[in-house]
Amino acid sequence: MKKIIALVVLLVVLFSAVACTSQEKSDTLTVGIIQLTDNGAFTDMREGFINRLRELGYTEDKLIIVEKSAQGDMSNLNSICQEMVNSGVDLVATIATPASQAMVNMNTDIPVIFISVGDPTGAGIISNMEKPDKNATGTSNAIPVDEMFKMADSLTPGIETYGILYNTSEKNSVTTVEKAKVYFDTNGIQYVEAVVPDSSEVQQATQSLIGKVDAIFVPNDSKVQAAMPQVADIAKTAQIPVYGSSAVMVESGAFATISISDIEIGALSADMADQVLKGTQIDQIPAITVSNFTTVINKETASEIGVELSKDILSTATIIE
Amino acid sequence: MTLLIGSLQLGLIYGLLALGVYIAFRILSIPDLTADGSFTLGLAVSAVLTVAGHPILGIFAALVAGAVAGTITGLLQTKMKVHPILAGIITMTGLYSINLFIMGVSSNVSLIGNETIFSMGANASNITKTLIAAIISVIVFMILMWFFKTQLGLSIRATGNNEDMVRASSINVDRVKIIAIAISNSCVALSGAVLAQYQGFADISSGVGIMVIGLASVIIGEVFLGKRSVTLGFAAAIIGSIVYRFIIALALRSSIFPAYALKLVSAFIVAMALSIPVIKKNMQQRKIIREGRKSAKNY
Repeated sequence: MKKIIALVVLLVVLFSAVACTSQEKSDTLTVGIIQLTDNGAFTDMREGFINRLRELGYTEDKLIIVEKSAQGDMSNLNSICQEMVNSGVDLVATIATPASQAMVNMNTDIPVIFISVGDPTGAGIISNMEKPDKNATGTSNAIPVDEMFKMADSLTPGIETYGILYNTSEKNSVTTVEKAKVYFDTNGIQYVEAVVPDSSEVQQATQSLIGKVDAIFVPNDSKVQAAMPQVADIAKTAQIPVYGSSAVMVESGAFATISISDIEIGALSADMADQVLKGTQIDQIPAITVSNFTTVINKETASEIGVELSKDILSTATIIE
Repeated sequence: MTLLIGSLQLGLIYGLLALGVYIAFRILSIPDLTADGSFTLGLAVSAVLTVAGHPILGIFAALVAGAVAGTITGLLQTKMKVHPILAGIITMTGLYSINLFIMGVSSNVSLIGNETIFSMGANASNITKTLIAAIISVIVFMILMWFFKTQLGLSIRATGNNEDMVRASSINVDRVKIIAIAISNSCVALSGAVLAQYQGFADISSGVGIMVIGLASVIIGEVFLGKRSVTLGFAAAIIGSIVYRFIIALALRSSIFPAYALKLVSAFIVAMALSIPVIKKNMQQRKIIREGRKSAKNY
């Protein structure tokens, strides 16, 4: 009996705490940011988004930003979306695919700006990039595979076999790998895949590629990105270049990449959010696939694998020591 | 209100998971780790069939799929004499690839815009959704309650209690274990199936850490409702799941803590919730001792 009373008391406390509506509806706007996991790329996107909003004139007293991370737990994602709707935010920014899907599925009046979703139409978030429906629009970060391999060919010519290192559970990675394979098949390049279900298996997967390939390609994959230092070490010892898909990878030791800065994608999304907050209808703001790329090269890796960087490259690319 | 009702809906859906975990862990006393894999299996099957236009078939197919997964674990344990924990891990690991295959070698299937069991009613309002989730939970609860009072159900309960005694009664213990684990994983897969249609997408990583959630729900429920009977245990599993969702919602509401502290805050609240009965008991005992000392002084 006593335990049942304790349970009832607990439920009442929780009910009231959860049910009490949030206070005032003042002139301050509230923007919510939702992300599934915590990693370097997402942090950059978030910071880029927030900083750009502040730059555009939304100071602390005009705009409150509420950040929530599901910390890798999918089941919390739904609760977070419900909480955003509950507290009546004016706009929600979602980072990456699962968070965007969960928010759009809530089917509310709150406009959604998705940041860096690999394939918005494929993921069911919007049906049309030009005229977004479902009250959502945003930025897509499809990786430019063709440019990537053309750059690779100019930096380290003569690659006959590529090794592809990726995690099958990330939709973005799989889509990018499919595109890469199409490029390889059209251009008569061989490739070997090494699949990584978990960060702990990256080392062995990489080692399995050594001796079979002339270069390694890593798509926009968060698991391999997390273990990039290991991959870079193994590749450097074997004198093989690693072509990553984000600046974070190159900073961790990969050789080079053509990337869209995550900070920039966050900033572009902030521009779209600004338009929505100022009153533009969401279906008037087309979703954009970001296309201003920069070549990023790691100088230390370059010298360790014995690649000479010409003066042109040194002047146009972003060099990381 | 959205958060309140939403948490209730999620609590009911994950309550099915808790029921499955309860059957394996409490009734059968077997640490079955297949849940991570069978949850995602149910999720994947339901998602794929819903996109193909058959949401209800998706739910039933998930039930069958979960049962198959459970049977495999059961066979590994009984016939191959693999340690229970390892058997669960083996099935869970294998299911990862199978789930990817089911989802069309894609890690994410979107259901947005498709007819689901939640949108089938004329008006997919919040009340309808809660009602659907509640009805499914109640139906499963009643079926399980009835089943565990049948001959087979009682054999399962007995096996969890004293396996040697059951074997001595010339009941096929292996068969009983396999059936029990199959039922347990069937419930877990059902939970995944309903969740897929609720949240509008299926992602391969949805099952990661689901075991922890299931166990937490079961134990939270037990702390309040006790372990006296199986029926109470089932009710405790569902209620524990709802309480756990409310705790997460509470942790989310607070804006005092930074975003990365979410899990720490929810862990703290869970710890506090679990210690309420112990603290109450301590306070009562101290009261009794105090009263005792007072009346001793009077003599």
